[in-house]
Amino acid sequence: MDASQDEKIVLPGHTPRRVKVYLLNGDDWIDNGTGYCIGDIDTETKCPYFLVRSETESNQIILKSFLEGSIQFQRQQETLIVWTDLTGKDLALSFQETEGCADLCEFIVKMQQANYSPNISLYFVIPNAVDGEDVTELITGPITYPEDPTDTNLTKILEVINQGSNSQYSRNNISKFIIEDNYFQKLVDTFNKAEQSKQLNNLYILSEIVKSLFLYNEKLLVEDFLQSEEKILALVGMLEYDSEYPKFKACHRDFLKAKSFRSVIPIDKINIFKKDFHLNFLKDVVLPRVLDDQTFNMISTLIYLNQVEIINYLKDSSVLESLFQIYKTSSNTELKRDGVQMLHQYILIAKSLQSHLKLGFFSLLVKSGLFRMISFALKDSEDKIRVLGTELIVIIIEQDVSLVHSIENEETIDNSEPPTHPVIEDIKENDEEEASEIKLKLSDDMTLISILTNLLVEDRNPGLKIQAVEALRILLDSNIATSSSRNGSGTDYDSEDDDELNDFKDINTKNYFRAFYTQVAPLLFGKLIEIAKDDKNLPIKMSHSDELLYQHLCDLISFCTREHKVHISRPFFLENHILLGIVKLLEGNCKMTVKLSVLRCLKNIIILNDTFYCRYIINNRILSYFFKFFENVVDQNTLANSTCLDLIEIIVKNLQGVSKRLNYKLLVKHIYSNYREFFETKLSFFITGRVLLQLGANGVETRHLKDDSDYEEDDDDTNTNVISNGIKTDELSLSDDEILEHNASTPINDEDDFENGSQEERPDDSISEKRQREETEEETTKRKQINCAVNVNSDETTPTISIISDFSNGSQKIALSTGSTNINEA
Amino acid sequence: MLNLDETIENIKHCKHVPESDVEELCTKVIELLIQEANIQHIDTPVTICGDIHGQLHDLITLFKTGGECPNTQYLFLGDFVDRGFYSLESFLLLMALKVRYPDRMTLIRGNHESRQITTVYGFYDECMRKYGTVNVWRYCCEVFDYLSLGAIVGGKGGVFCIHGGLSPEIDTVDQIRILDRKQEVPHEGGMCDLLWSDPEDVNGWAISPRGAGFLFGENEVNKFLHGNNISLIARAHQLVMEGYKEMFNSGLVTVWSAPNYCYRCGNVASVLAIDDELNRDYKVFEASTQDINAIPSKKPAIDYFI
Repeated sequence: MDASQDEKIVLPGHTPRRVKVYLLNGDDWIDNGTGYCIGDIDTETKCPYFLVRSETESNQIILKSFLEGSIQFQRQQETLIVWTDLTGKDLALSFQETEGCADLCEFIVKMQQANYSPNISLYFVIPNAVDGEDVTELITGPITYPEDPTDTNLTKILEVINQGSNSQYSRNNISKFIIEDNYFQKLVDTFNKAEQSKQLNNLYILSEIVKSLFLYNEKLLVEDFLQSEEKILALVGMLEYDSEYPKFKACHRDFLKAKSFRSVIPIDKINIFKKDFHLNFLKDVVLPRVLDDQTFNMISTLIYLNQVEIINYLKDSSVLESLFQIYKTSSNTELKRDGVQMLHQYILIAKSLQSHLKLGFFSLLVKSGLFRMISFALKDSEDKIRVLGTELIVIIIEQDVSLVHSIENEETIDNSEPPTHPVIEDIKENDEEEASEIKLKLSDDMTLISILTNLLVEDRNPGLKIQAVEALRILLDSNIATSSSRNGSGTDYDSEDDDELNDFKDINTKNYFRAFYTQVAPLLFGKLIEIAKDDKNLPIKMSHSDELLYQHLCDLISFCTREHKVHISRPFFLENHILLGIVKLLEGNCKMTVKLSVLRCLKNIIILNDTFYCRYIINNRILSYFFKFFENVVDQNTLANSTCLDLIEIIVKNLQGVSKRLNYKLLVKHIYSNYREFFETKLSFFITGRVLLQLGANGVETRHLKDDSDYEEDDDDTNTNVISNGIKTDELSLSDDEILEHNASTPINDEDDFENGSQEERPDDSISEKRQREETEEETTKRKQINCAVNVNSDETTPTISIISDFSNGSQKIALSTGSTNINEA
Repeated sequence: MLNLDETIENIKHCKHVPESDVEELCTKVIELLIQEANIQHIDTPVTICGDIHGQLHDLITLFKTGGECPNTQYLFLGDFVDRGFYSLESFLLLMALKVRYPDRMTLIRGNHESRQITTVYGFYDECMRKYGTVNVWRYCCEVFDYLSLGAIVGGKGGVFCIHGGLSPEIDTVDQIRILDRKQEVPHEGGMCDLLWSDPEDVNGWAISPRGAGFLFGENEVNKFLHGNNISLIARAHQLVMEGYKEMFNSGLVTVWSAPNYCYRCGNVASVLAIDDELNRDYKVFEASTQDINAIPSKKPAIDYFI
């Protein structure tokens, strides 16, 4: 019993399957009766056959048909097997169940492949809904293999190869044949002969053969092609010829031969590195026109797998150790430069790997002495090397900012006093020995930030400045303490790796950012501070390098004021009159790009909706610079003009839109009383300008513009009353004098107290400050909720419109969620 | 110092352009672009071109088809980069011509002129491969931010030119003026829609399968044409096998200028010449076979270190 069951499982065709037998008569299929079908082998002739016994009378045989000769069986629509037997009869078995049909098909396959009937074949017919033409796929059958290549049979070989490409079955078999028979080597020999004897036509055909073989999409085949240098050269050589472009010939071989693999330190497993290069060369240079999407993906996968191997090799061998040793012991500058380029190359590779591999590799780099290399690179006289060095930093901290702090992991993290002198000088003064070990830890050590600041301010290479800014933005991210593994999803690496990283999450950001604002920011924003102090410091003619610097500084101001806790960042920007510094650039003799950066920065500050900045802007008449600039461009339709209009638009929109509006009311009032004429004479074309005038004329009472009946009570009012020191300040009657009384410096001093350690409730101003912060948090929560609502949909392939409530004014707003993966096509 | 004519020739022959020259070129283009309006006003006659997508040799054919710059005035509707093998060279050539003949060459922004999109669709990788660092990509992205968003050809009753299409947030051309366009293309809002939307047989507005922008129907087109005193919307952004396709009673046309798109779509391309009477003349052209000449097409220019 057991044995027979086993047998059933092993051999297909033994279970009787219910079928209807049809015979074709003219154009009609005639039902020949219903019964049970099995597949069996004739004991004497060893010829397999189908046998169908009637379901009513098991002795009656409806059909016995041999699987012989070169009969082609077709499986159609999951439950049909159709064929023409050797006598020319068209037969069909219609199975009751898919399973039955599959079983008998399996029987056909077994019989063909076990050589009982080697010449029969089975095709699967897949109906094609698109254009009605069916697709047939060979499941089993005799395979025609290409014969050994000669001068004269290449056309035939190409035909065989192309025929074979029609089914996975034949592709597998031919690929296997080519590998086992070392067939490609034979093609290589033929190619070399053909080239010697200038048989152009044969060269074109060989090229076609190779292209067809690539489209087989077989990994093993591609690996076979790349097995030896000789094969690789011949392979790309064949692909230099193309019958479609008979006038042209590519020169892949010249390139490969001239290609230098520059070796930095001895490596024993050199083949994986060469393979990486060759695969990429094929994918990017030789084959892009030939590859279809699947083959492209197959080669990309090969590249990826090999790169994993490379990175694992680098991790496990002593290569990294010897590499970084160079920066301790060697005096060979060229070698050191090559080392930087080499590592950069592999870090780019690692960047594309899965996050646990990448993270493991990066953290090993850091431990093995990466920063010795970086400190060499950043001081090198060659632009290229400095650029690469900075890029290394950017890539590493983009991945996980805590990596740069992990060197000092034995030391406790904070509580050390900030160094009293700028660290940047330290580095310059330090001799080779000490400078080679840059110490990096978060607490208050500004070494890395200082280096980057120095690059941004002093280096003349424009690309390097951008890189430095990118790195600074990551290092100055307010979530730096919690942002371990920024790019990794944070869940897919195992906990072992995690442990060592966790040590650095506990970072005292307060000291860190305070150190930044006391030690580095004065240098970073130094030029602006000077300009704010004295107009004489305005550059008469600005260098290109400085133009770029000021643009970057404007971006950084926007970034810092938005990202950092106000009580740490704001005092710096206000006390040093940074805003005054930037708007003075509007008067200076500098490029429009710089001036527009200034306007954008100013706009970003205004969007902060911060009472202190707002009052600063009003009290220091910051907008007078803006309007002077605006006046110059008001008649043009240029980007400058649009940027100015945008700034006005933002103020008015916010006044009408956000819930905490006092700052915007003050700004509109300030603008109305000082620049009204400008609006009336120059901006009459601008609707928002007219709205502003109306708001100003009405005493900034937006309520009048709206329908009283459904307008919510403005929650600002309570806020307004306490906003400045308990004095009742009806928003509409706040006079300039009153504003001046509470100028920016008063609250700043309080902030200083705060810095001295009194974190408890502060009287007076703290109330308004605290209230503001509470509101911000509340707003943040709301925003998060909204984002969640939107994100829920972002996984779906089609974007969805979600109606979400805009909490600030009770109106409804439509948000379109856009999953970035959806952005397809042109 | 940059020698423009020489650089133009070098670019056409796919010769390596030094990083410092690219930076200088980008800086110069920005100085010009900053003087332009969000919607540029352009006089007739002008030849309007659609997507290029890094097909440098087809771009050269385009100039042969439409007439060389500066003899012919050109307006390119964006999507200069990505997909093709010569994104950098194509964009450099257009920038160089812009600097050389500022009044004869207008470039507006397509949805591919964006940091996010170029990192996915090839331009970023191409710069990396050709220079070993991505600073060249960074310079170009900075230029992208300054590109105008659209153009109006021929003043009143003329042609509104944009890469993608209309936006439910924008009823009038004037509204576009109040936009600080110097930013990465946002994920939503008017500026995004102008670069991402597509015309379709829908009533009013519909969600776009692209995940950004909208689909807009004939009604919206008619409203926009009428409200802004415009006779035609010329846009690109979608592959059309015939090179161009008019829709909505000839109120809108899609112009596509990348023949045999991605080197395998088998389409022809076209440019649209608008004359002083606002007559439309479509000039169709086919893919260049010259491409093969320059193989290896994506030759890595940097050393490989072991």
